Amino acid sequence: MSSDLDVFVGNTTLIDEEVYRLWLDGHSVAEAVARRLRGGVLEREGTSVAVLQSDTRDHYRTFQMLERLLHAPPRLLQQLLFQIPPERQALLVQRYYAFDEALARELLGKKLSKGTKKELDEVSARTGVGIRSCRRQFDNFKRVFKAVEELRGPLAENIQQLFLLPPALARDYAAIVFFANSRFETGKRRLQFLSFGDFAACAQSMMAHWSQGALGTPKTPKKPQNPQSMMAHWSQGALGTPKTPKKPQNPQSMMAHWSQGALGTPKTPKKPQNPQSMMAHWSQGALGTPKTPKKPQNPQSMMAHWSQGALAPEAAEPDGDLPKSFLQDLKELKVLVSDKDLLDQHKSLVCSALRGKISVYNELEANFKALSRALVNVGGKLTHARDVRDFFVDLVEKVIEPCRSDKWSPGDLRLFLTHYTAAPRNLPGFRHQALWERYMAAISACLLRMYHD
Amino acid sequence: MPGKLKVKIVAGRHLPVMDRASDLTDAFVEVKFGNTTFKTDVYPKSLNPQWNSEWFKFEVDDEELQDEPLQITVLDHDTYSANDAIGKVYIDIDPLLYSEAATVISGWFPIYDTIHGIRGEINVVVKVDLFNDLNRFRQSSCGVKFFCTTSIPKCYRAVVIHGFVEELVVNEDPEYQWIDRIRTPRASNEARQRLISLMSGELQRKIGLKVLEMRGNAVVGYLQCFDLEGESGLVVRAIGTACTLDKLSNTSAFLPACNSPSKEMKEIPFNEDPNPNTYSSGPSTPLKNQTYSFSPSKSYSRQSSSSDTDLSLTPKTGMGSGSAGKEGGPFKTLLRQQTQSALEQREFPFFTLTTFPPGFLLHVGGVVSARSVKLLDRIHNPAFVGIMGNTRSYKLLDWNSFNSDEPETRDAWWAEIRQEIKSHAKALGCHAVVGYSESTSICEEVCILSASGTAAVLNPRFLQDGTMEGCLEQRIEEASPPGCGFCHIPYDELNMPFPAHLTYCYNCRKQKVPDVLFTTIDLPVEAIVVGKGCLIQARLCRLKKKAQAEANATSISNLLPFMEYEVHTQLMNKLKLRGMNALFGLRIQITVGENMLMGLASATGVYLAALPTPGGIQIAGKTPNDGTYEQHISHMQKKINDTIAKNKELYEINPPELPEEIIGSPIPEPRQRSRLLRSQSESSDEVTELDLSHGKKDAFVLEIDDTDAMEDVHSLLTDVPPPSGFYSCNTEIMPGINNWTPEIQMFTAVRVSRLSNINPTNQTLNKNFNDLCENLLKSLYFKLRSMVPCCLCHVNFTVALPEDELVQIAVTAVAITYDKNQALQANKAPTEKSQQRASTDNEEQLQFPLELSSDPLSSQPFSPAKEALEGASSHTGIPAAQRATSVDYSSFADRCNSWIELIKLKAQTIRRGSIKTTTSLEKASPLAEGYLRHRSVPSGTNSTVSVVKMTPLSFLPGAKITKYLGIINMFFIRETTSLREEGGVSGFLHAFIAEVFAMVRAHVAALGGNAVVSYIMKQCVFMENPNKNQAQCLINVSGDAVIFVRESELEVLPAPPPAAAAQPAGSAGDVTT
Repeated sequence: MSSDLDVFVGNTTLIDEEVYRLWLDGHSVAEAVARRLRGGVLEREGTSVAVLQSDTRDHYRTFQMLERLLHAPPRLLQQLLFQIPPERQALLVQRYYAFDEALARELLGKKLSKGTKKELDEVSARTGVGIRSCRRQFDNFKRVFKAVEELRGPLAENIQQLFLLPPALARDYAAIVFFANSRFETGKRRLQFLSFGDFAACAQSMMAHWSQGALGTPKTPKKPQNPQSMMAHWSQGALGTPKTPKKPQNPQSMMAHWSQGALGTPKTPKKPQNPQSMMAHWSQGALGTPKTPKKPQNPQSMMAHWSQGALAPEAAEPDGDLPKSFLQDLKELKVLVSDKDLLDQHKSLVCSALRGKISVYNELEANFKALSRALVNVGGKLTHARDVRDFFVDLVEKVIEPCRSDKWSPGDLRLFLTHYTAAPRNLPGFRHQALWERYMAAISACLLRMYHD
Repeated sequence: MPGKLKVKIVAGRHLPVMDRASDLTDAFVEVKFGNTTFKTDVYPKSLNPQWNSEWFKFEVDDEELQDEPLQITVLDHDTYSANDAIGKVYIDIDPLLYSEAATVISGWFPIYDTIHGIRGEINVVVKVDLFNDLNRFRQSSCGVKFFCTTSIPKCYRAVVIHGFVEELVVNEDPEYQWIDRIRTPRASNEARQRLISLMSGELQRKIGLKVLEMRGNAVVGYLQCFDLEGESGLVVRAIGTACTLDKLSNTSAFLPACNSPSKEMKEIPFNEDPNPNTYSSGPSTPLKNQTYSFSPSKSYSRQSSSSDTDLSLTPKTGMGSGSAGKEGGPFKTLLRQQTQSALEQREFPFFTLTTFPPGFLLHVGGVVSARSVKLLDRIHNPAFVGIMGNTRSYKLLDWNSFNSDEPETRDAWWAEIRQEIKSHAKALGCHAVVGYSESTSICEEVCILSASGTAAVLNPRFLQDGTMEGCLEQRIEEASPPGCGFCHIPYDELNMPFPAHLTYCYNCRKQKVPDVLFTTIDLPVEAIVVGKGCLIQARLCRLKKKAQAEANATSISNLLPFMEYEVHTQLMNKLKLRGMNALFGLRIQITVGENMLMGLASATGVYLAALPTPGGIQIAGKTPNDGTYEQHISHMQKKINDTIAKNKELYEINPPELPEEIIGSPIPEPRQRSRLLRSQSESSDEVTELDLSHGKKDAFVLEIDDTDAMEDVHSLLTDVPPPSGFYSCNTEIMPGINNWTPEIQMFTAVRVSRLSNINPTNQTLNKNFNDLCENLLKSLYFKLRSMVPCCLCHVNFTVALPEDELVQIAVTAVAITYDKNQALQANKAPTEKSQQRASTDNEEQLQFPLELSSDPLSSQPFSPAKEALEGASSHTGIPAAQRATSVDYSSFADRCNSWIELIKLKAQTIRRGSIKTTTSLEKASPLAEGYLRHRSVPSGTNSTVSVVKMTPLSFLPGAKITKYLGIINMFFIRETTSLREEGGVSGFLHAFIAEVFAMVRAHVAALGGNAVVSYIMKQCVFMENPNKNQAQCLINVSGDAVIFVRESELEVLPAPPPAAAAQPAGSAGDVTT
């Protein structure tokens, strides 16, 4: 007597966290049942394997139906098909978008293309993450990347709004998008000691200090809009979009893409809609969530973030791209190393400030010029895409490795960088003080984070 | 123009991409009502169109308003080819037609397509301006309220309960029309959905008219069903109970009523004929000349069958006819005029209610049922016999040959069965049938019609105009004690309709009670129950030869009595095994398939304090000389005894014992002594016209003389009790649990299994079927393990045999959590001294299970539910389950006649003491009135999807229903031609059921509601053709949309006795009625 058909549907959709985890990890139903058996459910609940199988299948079906919605989390909030309490929705989204850092580390800076996806088998073998899970995570990265690459405003906040992720997770995704966009080289052998966390922290400081948004200049006046008019706005926007041959790029069409799981949307250079309206819309929709003040990661707190995000000043370019003008300006800093006088004065200022304070004073004195040259030139090269890729390689090769071989302590490096950054203030004839400090803020943060074994 | 319907299409969202080139959609909307259609503008290139249309206005008759659904179609505009339909929304505007319900329907509705499922959502606003129509000849019945709930709805008071209303409409099934050959499956499905929607509307309107004629204003316990008869058409039928309801709007109006005792009621003494005219049936029925005054069952049965013959030979005697367009005949009109409110003059004194206001139910006689086998195709072209399959290729029918004389045929069929039920009730000395329901099972051209109910004696005061003031708040403070009155026999002890074993009531010691009571109703609130209840199921398969038409019908007819008997025996055994003595909510389903019949009976067993303690089950061997055999027998006996002991502990059945001399057994039991089996066994006598092999034997002495009996014993023991922390029942409330917490989870589970045996026997089939049900239950317990401690309430199994070897079981139930720690506190609620004494008595009794069971549940041995349940009622109850089966089909004059199975049980075992309770609900009423101070719904109008709760119960734990918004009655068809791609049969059905839930929720939310109560999935017809990668499913659901407010959110109330607070169904609601 075999069951051909066996379903269980609750008015409130049942979500079993354990089974969700197994599903996310890419296990088949049979594997999941085996694992649950090992987990001892049978003994605890005194049930049969058949019951467990049927239960697992039910959950898997539910997750498969939910997956479509998870690709566009705001839809999960609006859909009518599954009645899921808000905290459960948040959990679903969060777990779906959570990733293995080892995998993310492997993919950092790689183009999120089909080619890369084909290499996932090897990545899976290296990282021990199941291949199905690898693919899902890769698709997540790609989906997030596609969704935000053309948007203006702070990356992390855009991601948070579009995917309803908790802030920390959104920041990690922002880092992944940032790396994928700038294609930083991270795979070199000498970079292997750096973890995903190191890179993510670097990306965050770079975005924080260098991006357009960091300057705090609101480029467009904010308009309070209600969601209705906004939806109208989008659609009208869609009408008037200067189209590249095929695809009008507005959020709606994006949603359409998501819902189909079609991810191959080509970019269009310009978009008519403003992201703010989108934020406003989604935040608005989200603010209606019944308030449950207990959990930090419920939609509500997420919403709080979005609404703040919605108010944040807008930037002209996506944060994923570093502002061109800024990079161009960095060339001006070369004067610090090209002008012999400035270089000498800089050195003497730093050295006098650090004398007796750091243990590696002699090495500092000997290497100052080389270090300074390296630090300034890294910035100077950033205008060329090819050189951008080598940003981290350069930092490690030209700064971190020399320091490490001279046995600088992290404290030494910190002191040095503080004074090195501050010194030009007292340099006569150096006019790029603000630029310099903005540049060095991110560089210092990156170096300090990366300076470990 | 008595009505103006206004519709506004606001917006759509998440539409599917209809234009592959642009990945967008150019959507517009058609709004259709009756024959008028409006269109919105095309909203180009958007998946979230903002139509913001003008108000589309339809000026229509109210008749049309009642019949027609509003049909909203979303389409994709296409310049060059035909516009593509995205999907549809049907909105039943009936809730807008009576003033107290919803005023506007507004919200997001899923756009539904029968092939693709839900495809986006549309925001619609609907309003109705209704002009009063004073025309007394009108055909509409706007304003009559409908409730699926089978009790008086919580915020209403029953002024008069008028009685039974029924109607049916017949149409041809669009799926079987010639045009179906040339139209798309989508068009065919939509035609069907629309037709059923239309027929439902028409049916509701006609029933409404009948209610108005009876001077009622509402239908309670409205049950509408579809019979998909294939080629012979589509029958939509409905039954309900007409009532005059009063809205309980303020407490001042309520208070005086509840305090005024009705004297008339008290004056009805026990054993006086409570209803002098009862025993003559309606003057114009064919049975009018027969007298039924307490005739013994045998002669009664004969009469019954002869009357049936009359009926079937002359099917147009006028009874129950008058559907489908015709307004009855003058004959019927005459009948109606005579049908005044007095029960005895009614055509059918039936009530679909299962819960009643206190005092309404005087005595309960037992279950009455009737079945009849009919051939569907007799009036049609015989060439097409037996092709009612799902395959479209057969539809070469000429529909002109089928015509509309069918309603009369169907009406006559049902009238026949109802007549029989009525006669059975009379034989039990009862003038009414409560908890009445009807069902059908169709396979090919054979149809089994079934009806069942509980024979009862009612308080006539509730049934008449004029005397209603205060009568529902009747309190009986002397005379017959409450809590046991309904158990007392309604018939004359010296002139019993069947041999039965009677004892004096263990509660009041004044009246006679039977030793076992079977009913189809819910446990009356006032009943005194010991321990907890549990779900009891009897499951049975019987093979049958494949046959055609009449031969088939004959073989089914021959099998039915045996099945009934076996189901009954199983129920009785299982009841004994649990140490209980009464069944409530009994529902016996007989399903017919091509090569077998299946019987599934579900009920909730309880221990009624008023009835005697059941004895054990004795096993006897036929071959006493064999030593090993003896050993085996004694081993079995030990197992059974152990199980009974375990069950008693599990369900906390520990009735107080009383010295034996107090009770005198009025009826000597000679047979008891003559048997070798000693001690506490019981016996049961079946008196039936059929000479069943088991006849005249003690039912509870299981003689193991063949493998069959072994099977029986084994199957008794294989029923696994639910895991700890779980209870289950199929009634509204679980006896013994009253401290519900608000968390509920309604669910539907469907399983289709293949019976893989090549040469199946009855035994293997039984085992398979049994396993299937048990596994399904097990899997439910596992699924819901996170809710422990909880109770599965209103567990409703539906069995279908879609194909040769397939068995489909659908279960809908609700899991409700309860707080096991609150019970003790609740116990302290002082209601009545005697009750307290009762509870302390019981606590003393129950101390021993504490150490036996580590389960903390047993720490509150005497649940306060009982206190809440003890209420007013009056005297005299009835024993014995009487069931009767009438099997016939119109072609055969000699049918396998009706039989009544009467069961007498006796037990003389541990005597229990009575709990002296002279209780009134006075204490409870003022507090219940406190609940009536409703507050408006908390403003939940957020842009996120609002939560809508669904439950098959008539209440929500921990919440107060403040408003009924109208009936939800929806019918959906889903079909796929890409079954594999949608995840196979399971994926397909899973998605469809989820979609149905979503659509129900959306409709409720649009009405402004936040819950559906009395939700029921009446039909789930699933058909697949894996070879063609196709499947089709039809689902019909209904329920009442309501607004509820959490009790914690209500304004400050006088501290409610926890029992009442925790049991809104039991106390609050009924007290207020």
